[in-house]
Amino acid sequence: MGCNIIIKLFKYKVMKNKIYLLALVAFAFLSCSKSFLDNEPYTATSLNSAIKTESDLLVALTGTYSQLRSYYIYGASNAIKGDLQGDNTYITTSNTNRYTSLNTFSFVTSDTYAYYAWYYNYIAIKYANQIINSGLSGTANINQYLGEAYAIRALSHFELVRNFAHPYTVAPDDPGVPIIKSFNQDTLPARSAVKEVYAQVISDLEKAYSLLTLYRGTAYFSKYAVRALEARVYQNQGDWANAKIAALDVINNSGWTLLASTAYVSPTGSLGTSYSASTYSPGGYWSSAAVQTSTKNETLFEIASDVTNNNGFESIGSLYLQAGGGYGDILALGDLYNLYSATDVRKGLVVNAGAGYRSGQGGITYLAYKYPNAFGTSDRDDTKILRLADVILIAAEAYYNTSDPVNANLYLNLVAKKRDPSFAGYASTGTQILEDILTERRKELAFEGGRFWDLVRLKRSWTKVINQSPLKTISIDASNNSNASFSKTAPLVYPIPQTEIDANKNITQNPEFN
Amino acid sequence: MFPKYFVRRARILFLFAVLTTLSAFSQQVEIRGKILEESSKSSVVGATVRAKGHTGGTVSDINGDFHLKLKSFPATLLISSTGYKSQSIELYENEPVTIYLEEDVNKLNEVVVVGYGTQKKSNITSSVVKVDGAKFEQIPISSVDQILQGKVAGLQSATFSGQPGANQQVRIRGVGSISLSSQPTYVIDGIIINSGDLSRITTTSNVLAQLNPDDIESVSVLKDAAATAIYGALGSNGVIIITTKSGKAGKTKFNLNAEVGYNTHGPIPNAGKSLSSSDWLTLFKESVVNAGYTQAQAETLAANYGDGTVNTDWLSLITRKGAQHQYNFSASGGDQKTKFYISAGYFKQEANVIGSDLTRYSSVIKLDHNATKKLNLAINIQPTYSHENAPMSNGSYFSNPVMEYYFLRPTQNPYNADGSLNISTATKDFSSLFNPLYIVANDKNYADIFSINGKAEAKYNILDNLSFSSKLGLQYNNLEEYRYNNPNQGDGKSVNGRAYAYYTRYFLYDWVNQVDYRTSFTKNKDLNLDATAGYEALKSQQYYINAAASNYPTSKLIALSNASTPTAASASWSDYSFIYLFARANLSYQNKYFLSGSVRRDGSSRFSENNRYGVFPSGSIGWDISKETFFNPIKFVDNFKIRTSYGVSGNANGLGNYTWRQTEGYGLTYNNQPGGNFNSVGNVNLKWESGKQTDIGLDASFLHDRISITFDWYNKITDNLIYDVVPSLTSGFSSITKNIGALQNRGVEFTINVTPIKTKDFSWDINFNITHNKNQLTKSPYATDQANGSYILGEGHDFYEFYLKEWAGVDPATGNPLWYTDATKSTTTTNYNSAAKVATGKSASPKYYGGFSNTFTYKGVNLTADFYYNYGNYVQDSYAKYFNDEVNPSYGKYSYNLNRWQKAGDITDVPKLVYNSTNNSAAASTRFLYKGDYIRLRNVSLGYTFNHSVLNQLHFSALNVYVRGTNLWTKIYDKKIPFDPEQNINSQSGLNFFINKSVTVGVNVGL
Repeated sequence: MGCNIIIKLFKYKVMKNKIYLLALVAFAFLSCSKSFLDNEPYTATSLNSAIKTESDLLVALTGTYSQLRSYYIYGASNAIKGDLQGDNTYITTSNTNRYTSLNTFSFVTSDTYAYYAWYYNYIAIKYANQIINSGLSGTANINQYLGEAYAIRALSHFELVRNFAHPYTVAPDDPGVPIIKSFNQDTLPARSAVKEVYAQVISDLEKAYSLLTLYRGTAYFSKYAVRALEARVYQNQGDWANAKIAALDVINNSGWTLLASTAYVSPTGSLGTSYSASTYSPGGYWSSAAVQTSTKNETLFEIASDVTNNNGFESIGSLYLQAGGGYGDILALGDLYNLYSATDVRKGLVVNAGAGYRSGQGGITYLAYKYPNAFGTSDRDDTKILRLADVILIAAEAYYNTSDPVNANLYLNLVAKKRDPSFAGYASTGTQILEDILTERRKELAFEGGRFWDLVRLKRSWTKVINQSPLKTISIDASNNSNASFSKTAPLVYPIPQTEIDANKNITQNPEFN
Repeated sequence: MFPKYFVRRARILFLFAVLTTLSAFSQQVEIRGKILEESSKSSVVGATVRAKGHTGGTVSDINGDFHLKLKSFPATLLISSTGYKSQSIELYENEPVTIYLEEDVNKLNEVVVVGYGTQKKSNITSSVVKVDGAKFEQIPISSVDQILQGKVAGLQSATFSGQPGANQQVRIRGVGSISLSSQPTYVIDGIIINSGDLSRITTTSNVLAQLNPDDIESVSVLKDAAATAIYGALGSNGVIIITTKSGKAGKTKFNLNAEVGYNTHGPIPNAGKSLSSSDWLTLFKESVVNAGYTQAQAETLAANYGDGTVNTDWLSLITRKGAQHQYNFSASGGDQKTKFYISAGYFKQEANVIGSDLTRYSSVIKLDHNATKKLNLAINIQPTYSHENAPMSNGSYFSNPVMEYYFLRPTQNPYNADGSLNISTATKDFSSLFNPLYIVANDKNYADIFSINGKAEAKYNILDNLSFSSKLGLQYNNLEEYRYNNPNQGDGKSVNGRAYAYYTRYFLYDWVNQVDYRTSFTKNKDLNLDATAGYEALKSQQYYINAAASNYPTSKLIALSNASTPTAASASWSDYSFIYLFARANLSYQNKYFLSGSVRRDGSSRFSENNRYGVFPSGSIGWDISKETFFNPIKFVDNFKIRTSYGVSGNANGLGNYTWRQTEGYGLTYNNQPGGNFNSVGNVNLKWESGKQTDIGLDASFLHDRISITFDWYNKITDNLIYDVVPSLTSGFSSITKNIGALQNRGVEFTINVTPIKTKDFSWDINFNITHNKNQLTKSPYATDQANGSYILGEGHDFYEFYLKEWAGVDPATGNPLWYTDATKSTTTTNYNSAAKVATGKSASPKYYGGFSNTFTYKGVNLTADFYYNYGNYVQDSYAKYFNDEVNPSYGKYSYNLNRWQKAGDITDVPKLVYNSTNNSAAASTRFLYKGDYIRLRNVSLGYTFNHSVLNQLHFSALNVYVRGTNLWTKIYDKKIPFDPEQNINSQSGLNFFINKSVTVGVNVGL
């Protein structure tokens, strides 16, 4: 109770003047009310005292990464979208209703995936801003943490602008997304132009690059992971000179290498006749769920999951896996499977399960096997965000676009021959080189969410398979140069969430949804 | 034949009497007598006896005996005692006399417990309803809030789950908040308690189920602001004050009751029954053909799901005849100085659904001692322990047996050929759904709940009319919850078995200090003042521990220690505190004019210092017209009191303890490192929701109380509603808690009690009450109408008005589903997405509800029937898409699907069945909105009370046997509704456990 009223009461009970006693008691009651009503929380601290030291900064940064792990953004949806909206995967008929709007390109303005892609990226930006604006500076560690926060802010703005706005290669002056660099709950920001958002992203990445000096493992942004992201950003802008510089910096200076083919994939076991009988494992790099802390193979940056902190049934593996309790809603397409030669180890990541394997699905079932550790009692799959192979292929594409076919083929074959040691290598000329690069990108980065963005930024048309058997398709056309009719047959951008439109009078909806 | 003690005592009394009266009377005789209660023949202690025309008098002792000196005969003795009608008898000679006092049944003389005190019912100017404890005795229902259903006008109580010990949703005068709690505040013996569901992984649990209803003396329901404003910030949704039984001076009374019975499941309308296996397959195949496949393909596909040789009646497997037991024992008694009440209770209810039960051991120790003439000390302790086995019981869990009853196909075989339970994952067996028999047998979901309610109180009478009291109330709740999912089938399979051990402790103390003062201002006591002022401090602390692990070495052991992979470990606290200052004054003049006012100032830790305190005043007036001289000629009217009140009360129930604070939160982990984040935006300007309520009421009784009525009209406007407003999501927050919006509840309540027949042997009592409430949002948080789940959030609309696409039936030509494109209902469409949501004007809240009771008494036989009725609301089937139209073909189906469209020209409301249909035919629309009207026989009982000659032979003071039926009969009006219309307060089906239909027999013995 804090106050010794009872004792006082007792003491004064002998007093004859009872009225006096009452007045005294009442006074004593009132004098202690302030502290009595001040209950500090046990699992939170006041925001303005939260980030004051280097270790506070690290804690806030770790919290920011855990936000990135959310399955609605980098934990799963980001990687699922790029294949599902491209031509690598589809959703089987008998499904759990997840990701169906992406499969059919049928979005309402209240679409769940659009909503969370928007909101969760802005949450990550809010966290990153807390770190960036903390006012701390001085030590290498602090600079490292600030640098990672700049990189995260860049990553989220980049994903926002390409998901919610027209491609830079189509309409750089169209509305992009709001750029948020500090917290204000009352602001109703308008959309900055696409090119302004890209400029902000590059600026944040350059800042990050200048601050980062440490390698904390693949679970965190490092100097060269930032460069890899920068290469991707320039690739999406079609800025090939800069893309080449950034990519080559990673390839030549980072110390990262590709693994030997047998260390990359090395399948064991078999699928059996039903998923309960499956013992299949892709082996190698793709079977390991561990993050790298000192080695530098393949992965430049990935989102870490472990046995206690993971997305459970919503993990990316659960959506692909038939075995072990996964939803298994998303299946690979035969077209993709057929791209791999028999000697390509990556064929072990797209498995032909035969006909009737998936209940209710006609035709042959092809399974994506890059995420085999969705369940069980050991470490869980991490989601790859940036890989060296991707950067090498960006370099190849940059060389192609800067009229250097020799180097284009050279870098292209660095990846292709690594995965298929019996492959003689690409030796095309002219525009076929670009087609070879795209094919190789499709094969290498399948189920990692890159395909759709390749098709969009290059303004391609493709056939989206909604269901493989019986065959149901829609044709998607990103070929139009005019921003007004950019999404000709189906919306190629997400709608700005209706919630945002309702709450923010300064925001405009994408024309596809008006 | 008095024992020595009494003889000695009588002598002392005698001596005393002689000494004190010697001077006044020259010649005296002593008379002796005994005072008994007329009905029970038990002694009346403390009755005042005096002789007419004489000063002085005496009071009856513990045996009801009295001695009085008289000067002469004949003499007139005047006997009076609280709760009894006063009597006078003529004495002509000195003979021992036995006086029988009749209980005062005049309801207006009743004393009613109100906030921080009691008041005579006749003087009350606010809307308060008292329910006697007898209504809560020997009912096979675990909590008092559930039993209250239908007993109080203006109180809506929804039993949504048949899980014994389930939480109950209670609304007084409508829904009073849109995002905070609309539950009333509960007060037990003057102590504000933590109520509701304190459990965390048990689907439903109720703090009030820890209170044995048999220990309740009375319940007061405070409805209008004049009654609730003294509870300030806890008052706007009404207050329910529970007073527990106390000892009465007199011979020690023992009471024992025992009842046994059984529970079966409540109604499942025909429309919602499951299909037979052959019907299920017929519909399935028909839908496949309708989807464009051949008959042969349909046969092949259907074969995946069973061949028709199995025809499982899942309902009979997941329900049972559950045993019901209840034993209560109490002893009470004492003398003028010290009184006690002790009780012990055992309650065991096995619900109608397999695996669900509640066992409760309750006890009460209550002591009251007059230490001196001025100082009274009282203490009571109520320790209770319950064990609640609660399988998952809502629509979120496939391990819920009721959910499985609906989802499973009749073609699925629960057993293997060898009789063991089938957990095969083959498509025809349990590939995605679970076998509920296996889950219930092998999973564990239970809560061990230990609680103590206690109170220590000291009251000091400073002067005759001025007293100070201090009471410290404690509420301790300790919940140990355990969930185990076996490794072989169900939720634990993918992780090889898992378990969660959750520990929760709530400790609340409430310290109330008050001064009570009463006085009369005029000589003839025409003008009376009754005033109370006080101070109260309340603090509640929650402490919890969570632990979870998976990967079990064996399915034989469930303890967490056996599991190899820890998955969660956490512990923390959460506190809130309140400080209250309150004052109330009641003025009455000639018991004819009444004036009352109260004011309360509340401080709460749930608000920042900017808005920490709120002031809540109220005032009321009453006029008993029947006391006016001009009313005298109207003989048939006993009382006719009109009253009106206005006041302000508040609400912070359900607001997060720390919501107002802007914080960095922790507990996040990335790559095995600890993380933090900016998790709460806070709002330092947040303040109380405030309810402003006007009430106009009438209490009247006629024909010597053969008819009594109470009528109330009220208008309650709750302003500054706390609501999570959506900011721009680019802020990184999706909600900011603000005060925005207002709700109005307006309604009338009417209660009538009639005794049409009352003779020496036979009486017939009728009680009827009806409530009409109209709710509307008067100020919306949004500029335009918004969907709020299935409801509309818009100005002028009921908070629970359904906002859905309008179903236009089935096209007889094609069998396609049709919807209206908009509210004009002029155009139909087959495209669900091009139909607009419309405000349906149909609400989940009933237009009228209430209770209707009849009691017939003939000599010792007593027959009571209590009905509850509910009219004018609509109930939504929120799981319709799973059980209709082959949208999800592998699941069980309602039998109503048999009415499906089959050929052109068929007029039906079930569209053509299409395998894996994507036409949204079963998506949310008014198609799945049903009338919620029903009448239920909540309680029917037939009892026999043995008469005194039998009792004397048996040496019992009371003996009563009865047979009781609970929820035996329900009349449901909508032929299409697939489930019991009594659902959650929001009238959405929740796949909760069926309510229990109980039959019990019992005996009640008094010694």
